[in-house]
This record gives sequence, structure tokens and C-alpha cells, in this order.
Amino acid sequence: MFRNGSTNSSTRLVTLVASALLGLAGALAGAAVPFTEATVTRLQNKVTYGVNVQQRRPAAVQDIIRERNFLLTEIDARAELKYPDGTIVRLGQNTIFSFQAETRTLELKQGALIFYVPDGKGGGLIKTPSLTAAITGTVAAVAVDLAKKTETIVMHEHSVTLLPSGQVIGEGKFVRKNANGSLTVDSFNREKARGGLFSWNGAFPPFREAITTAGLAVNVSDVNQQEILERTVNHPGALGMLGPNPQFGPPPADRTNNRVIVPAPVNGPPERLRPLY
Amino acid sequence: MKIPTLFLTLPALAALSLSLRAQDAKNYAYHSSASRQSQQEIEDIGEIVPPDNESDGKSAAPPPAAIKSKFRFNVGTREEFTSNAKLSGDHSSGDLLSLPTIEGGYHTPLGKYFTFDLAAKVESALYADNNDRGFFGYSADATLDYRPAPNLPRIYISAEPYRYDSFDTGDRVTQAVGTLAGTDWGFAFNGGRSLAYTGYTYGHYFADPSVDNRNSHRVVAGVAHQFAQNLTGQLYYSWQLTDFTDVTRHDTRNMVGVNLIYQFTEHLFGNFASAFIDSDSNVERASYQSVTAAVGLTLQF
Repeated sequence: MFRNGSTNSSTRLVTLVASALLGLAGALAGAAVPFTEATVTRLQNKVTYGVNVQQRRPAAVQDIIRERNFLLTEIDARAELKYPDGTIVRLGQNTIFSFQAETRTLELKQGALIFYVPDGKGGGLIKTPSLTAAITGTVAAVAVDLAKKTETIVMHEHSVTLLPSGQVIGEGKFVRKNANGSLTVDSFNREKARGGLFSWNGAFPPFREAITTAGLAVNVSDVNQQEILERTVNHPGALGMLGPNPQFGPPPADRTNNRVIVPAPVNGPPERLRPLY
Repeated sequence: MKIPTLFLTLPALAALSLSLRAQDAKNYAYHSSASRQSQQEIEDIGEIVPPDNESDGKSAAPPPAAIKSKFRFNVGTREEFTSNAKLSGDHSSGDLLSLPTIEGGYHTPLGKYFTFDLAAKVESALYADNNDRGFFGYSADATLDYRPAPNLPRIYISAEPYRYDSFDTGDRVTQAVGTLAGTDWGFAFNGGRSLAYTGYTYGHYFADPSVDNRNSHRVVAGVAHQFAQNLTGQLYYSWQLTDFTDVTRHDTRNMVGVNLIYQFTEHLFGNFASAFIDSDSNVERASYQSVTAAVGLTLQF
């Protein structure tokens, strides 16, 4: 639980440190490609694109969202944004989202989102009304529930650093600002923390799951398919069913001369090694 | 709307002040009870509860999607041209194959580092010309894998029973239980849109007829790339050594292939694949070369 009775001096000190950290984060983020624009790559149901408070219209796929524009999803609506550096943001229902370019800040005012920021692209900041966290390459979920007055950051991959405290929220942990102002930091059940946004519009993030869900796997399915055909057509048992006896190669002692048909030795091989097909 | 108004005009200093108050390092509460989430939030990001399922009793039931995601059910068909249906000699028996498949699977994490996957498959092959090669078969695959960290190689063991019967005669062609162990590793780059991977698998198959008993070593390496949100392609190479233990037969197979996977909808995938295969055996009749090209559709639930 946080205390409201902090002294003014300590608050000023923390403010100074926070400002310095934010400035440093901003400087680091500024070295990367700014979030100048993002492209809407998929929509579901009613999503509003706002240039500003007065100018708004229904969002459309391929809309370019720029700094300080916002997207508003309504009930049972979702949206996906893609940035030029490969960052992907998926917005859940009843969500208000915008971003800032230079500091590469993703801002969630209400609702829920998941985001993927590739490694080595400069990281950035994730910001809710009460929480600010510095991110590098990360997969995380963020939620702001105005009714319950809770804000949550859930770390699926890598870690974030809360600002200004410097508290690191590691992979497999979440931080939640509760209604009474306290913070909860704990591990979470990864199995249950897989909402619909993780599969909506394909695997998220790219490849980490796609290698299994889309038929892409290190154990390549086409290789397995060929293996099955060999089992039924080309392996010894199948060859025995399908035609006359094939000619075996030379015994192991003479393998260097393969493909040469060697007559069976006078004594013959042991019974179990006799050609069975 | 007021919320966007506030959002767009909220002074950064006010936000900073709020975050300062909320993040006093001395006042973190470390406890396992999770606040109740809205149903909408659970639908979107899942239920955030401690790993041991402890909760304050207020948490909503897990969303159906969380349970459903453990199970999968695929129905697919693949139409393939091969230059060598007999898998003997070089490109001398061109044919068209239909390869329908039904697969059901279950996948679940076991603790922090292990996952378990169980798959059962019914499949068949129908040859346009070489009818005597047609088969239907049943197979299963139980795999336990261990991955110490997301970016480290995966190590796995698996058991794979299978049986194939001839369409032509109704007789069993072969059956076996394979025991396999292997490792694989993928490295994502290009902003996560490309993946280089490699893997090795050792397998021993206890077969009936016993002439199919064998050891195999397989190495696979490849690169996959996501060309668009719904289009993924890959180029791969596979080398496999198969040593039949009850007969004097040793096969070495080289295979290079490409494929494209297009996701039409959330559940429907299209596939194009082509490969060149060169299999060299000390049994002359078992050596072959072939070229394949295939298109397929998979409906995934």
C-alpha cells in the first residue's frame, strides 16, 4: 500500500529522479525510429478513428494513425495496428488508445491491449493513467478498468521497468494498481492469461507460436509427409508387398561398393537377416 | 466524448504525479490475491491469476477460449503431383495423389518449462494411377518437451505409434512404434518476421514386419519469413540417415523444399509446397529421386 503521508521533500526528490529517468528513457527511445505513424491492419465491429476530439469517423483498414490521433473500440470491437519497425498493437473492447512519436510511448486510457515490440528496435514506453513503464523487446498485455479503478501490465516475454521507481517486472509477472492505490506484483498463470487477442488475426507475436499453429515447425510437415509415403511404398515391408524381391546391397563389410549386387555367401546369412521380401 | 478529451489534454505532469504516487517503491504489496477482472478484459487478455490457481474467490471462471485453446482439431486435404509415385528409380512414375487427413490434438503446459502434446491422426493416400500404393492409416504422437527459456533450444522426447493398411488388398502394410528424442532451436530476426531454425531428431522404430525395424537420424534447417500478416513462406533442407537393423539396408535422403502458407480466415489455411528429394540406398530398388508439388487446405478448430 502506498502512503499518502510522504514528505514534500521526498516527493520532490522522487520527482527529480523520475524526471531524469523519463528524460533518459526518452533520449534512448529517441535514438530509435519514432512511432510517427501506424497502419490499421484489421478491424472488427465498430472502431472510431479520431484525428482529434472534434474530427472522428469510423476507422478503416489501411488507415494511417499518427501521433496524438486515437482509436476507440466499442463493445465486441477490436483493432490491430502495425508500426513500420514491426511493433504490433492489438486493441480489445471499449478501448481508447493513442501514441507519442518521439518517446515511442503507447498510451492506454481505458480498455485492454496486447503489444509486441521487436528486440533491438529502440524499445519505448507503455503508459496508463497511473503506470509508466520502460520497455525493450517485449510481449505484454495492458488493461485499464475505469469502473474497478484497476490498471494492469502483464509481462509475457522479457521485462519492463516501472518509472520512476525502477522496479523491474520480469517475464511471467504482472503489476496491478488496485482500486485503493496499492500495487500488486505477482506471478501469473500463463495458461489462463491467453485471451482472444492472442489468436485474433493470427498468432501473436509472429512466429513464436506460428511455427506450430500454422503448420510451420522445425519438424517440417512436408518432410513428415514424405516419410509417411516412404513407410508405405519404399520401406522393406512395403516393398515386400508391392513386388518381387528387391536385391539387397552388399553385406556391411563391403558397403563401399554399394549398388553392386553381391551373390549370397555360400553359408548364407543368419535366418533373421535373410531377405524377407 | 469526454474520455478522449481528457486523454488528449491530460498534462504529462499530472500523469507523472499519479505514477509517482502509485509507484512508491516502499509500498509494493506482494500478495497472491488477484483483483477481479471484467469479463471483457478476460476475453481480451485472459485471466490474470497466480500460477497455483490461488485466487480470492472472486475471479471469474476462465474463459472458454482458454480451455478450447488446449485442444485442436484439423481437417485437411492435400493434392500432390509427384514425379515418382513408386519411390524407386528416377522420376519414372509420375502420379497425382490425394492425401486427406483428420487430426485431433491436445497441448498443455506442465509447470514452467515443460509442455505436453498429444496428437492422433487418421490419413490416407489415393493414387490416380498407382492404385496399389494407396493406403489408409492411423498414427499418434505424444511429445514431452522442455524449454529452459523462450530463446533457448527445445529438447523433446516422443512416442509415435502408427499403422498403415493397403486400400488395394486390405492387408496391413506396416506398423511400428517409434521412440524419438531431439532438439530444435529457432532464432527470430527481421523484427520477428523471419525465423531461422534448425533441429536434430534421433528415432528408433520397433516395427512389424521386423524388416522395418530401424534407427534414423534427421537434421533439418530452414528459414521462414512472414511476407504479410497472413502469408508465410519457408525454405528448408532436410538430411536423414535411416539404418534398418534387421536387414542390410542403409538409406540417405536429402530433401530441399519450399512452401507457402496463407491464412484465409482465422480457421482456414491454404498451403503450397514443392520439394526435391534424392534418396540413396544400398538396395538399388529403394534409391529414388522425385520432385513434388502440392496444394492443400487445412481447416483448423
